[in-house]
Amino acid sequence: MGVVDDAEQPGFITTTLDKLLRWGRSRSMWPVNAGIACCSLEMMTTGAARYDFDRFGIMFRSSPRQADVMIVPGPITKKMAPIVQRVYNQMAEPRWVIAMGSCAISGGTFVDSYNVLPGAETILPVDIYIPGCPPRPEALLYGCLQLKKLISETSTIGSSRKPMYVPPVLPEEWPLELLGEYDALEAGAVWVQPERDSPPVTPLGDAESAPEDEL
Amino acid sequence: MSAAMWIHALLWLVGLLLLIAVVTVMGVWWERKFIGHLQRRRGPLHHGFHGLLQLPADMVKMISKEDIVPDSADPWLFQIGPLMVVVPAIAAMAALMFAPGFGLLDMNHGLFYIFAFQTLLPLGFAVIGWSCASKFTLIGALRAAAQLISYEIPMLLAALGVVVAAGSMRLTDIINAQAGVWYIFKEPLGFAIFGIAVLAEMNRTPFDLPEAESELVAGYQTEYSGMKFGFVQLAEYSVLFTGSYLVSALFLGGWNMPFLPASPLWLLLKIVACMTMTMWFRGTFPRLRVDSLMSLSWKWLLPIALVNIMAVAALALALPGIY
Ligand code: SF4
Repeated sequence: MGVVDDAEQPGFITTTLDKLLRWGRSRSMWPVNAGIACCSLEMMTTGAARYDFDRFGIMFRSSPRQADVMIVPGPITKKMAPIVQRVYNQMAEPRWVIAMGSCAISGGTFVDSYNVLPGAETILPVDIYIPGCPPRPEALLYGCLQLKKLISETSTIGSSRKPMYVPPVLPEEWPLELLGEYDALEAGAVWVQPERDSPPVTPLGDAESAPEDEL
Repeated sequence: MSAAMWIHALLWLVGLLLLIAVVTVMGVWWERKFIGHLQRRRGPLHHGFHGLLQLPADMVKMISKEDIVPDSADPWLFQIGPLMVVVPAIAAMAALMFAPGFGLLDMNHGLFYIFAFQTLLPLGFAVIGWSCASKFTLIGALRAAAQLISYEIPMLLAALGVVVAAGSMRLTDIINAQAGVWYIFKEPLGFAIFGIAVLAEMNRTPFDLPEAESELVAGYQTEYSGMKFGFVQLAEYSVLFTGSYLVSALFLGGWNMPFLPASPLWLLLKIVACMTMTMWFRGTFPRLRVDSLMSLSWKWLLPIALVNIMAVAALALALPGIY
């Protein structure tokens, strides 16, 4: 008799630790302090006096090593793409990505531009999409609470590593860096902008099922 | 050593470690809350009673985070770096006396012991900054080393004034000598110098250059993730506690209170007040430039501290009953 009898029936200690980790991780999400475009002004407002991120334990850290969440507040230009990807790679696991604003969701206003990526999910595994141009601070807070719900409802047992989004071919215009075994890309020819009908919004629940704020 | 002494030492060791944990948890919570209210925010609010469970949540998260060792870092130094800051910070606390006869070790040179271990901290910061092989950590570490060394001297000279007046380096004697008048009233100049220098020693605003967030990402701790970063924070809050203790014990009368019986409660209250003062400074003051910081230390604090100690010595000779 061990702690875990078989994989189907996890023992008492395992589930408790899982709950503890989910509780800790969802209650202390530190976003990395990186603004890309106009949406970051709303992001700063959310941290300031009227809206106050710190109420929910969300505290901006300048160093990506100590951050858990990356809020992508704006369009990612092709020149910026390697830098955004590098910041994401510098963050320690477990990590999450929030795409804030229509630019980060799909390219938004600049979707037809020659130098803007069609959304953050082209290079990052996005967890939460917050629509708006820009989303109001309330919307950002709501999105962060949805991420809190997502984290506290996702089991930590097993691998939590999310692989990098791998484009079908290595883009030549905006060279992505190969920094580790988890974001290996295969060398290829020209990167093609993916066809898309509508922005990939994944609703995670509506206003009624917003997470409770107790404990 | 007898068995009783070993048990005494062990109990105190556990007690001090618990004290450090409580100081860090409550210190960070109080700092976030206090600065939040200074900025007309609420601070941590929703997790636990007024955010009291915020720090436990942060710690659970930090423990479970990935431990990154950068490729370019020196693996050995990178691993022992946090220990080199935590160990002196905790060791310095061994000499703290909380009431007459209530402390781990009532050394007859306790003040000297505390300063000796606090002087080891810049070495830890330098090791941390150097081992990461990153620009930000290196600049932060060099700033920490330069700043801590230049503020060490005025701080020691100002503390020497108290030692001259009390005639002892034993913390109990120094505090008992203030049963009448506190040294802040006898040596206001020394108190001002010591307060400024101790702020710099604790890396607090306006002297938080080693981890200047707006210039250096996170300064010397930029590359640390997870619990190693937590350990560095632990050391910072232990140093904050020790510094506040020193100010309360050397200048604010320790466990003495006018018209009231002496009690460790007063000491605790004074320490909390001093810690709150540093947080207040953090919420109000801008950061000094590196060169103005150096000139403040070497051109102003050091000469004034020398004048102060000579004046105190002369007064102690001239008016032996009062000083
Ligand atoms: S969504 Fe609107 S506000 Fe946000 S970055 Fe794009 S253009 Fe700016």
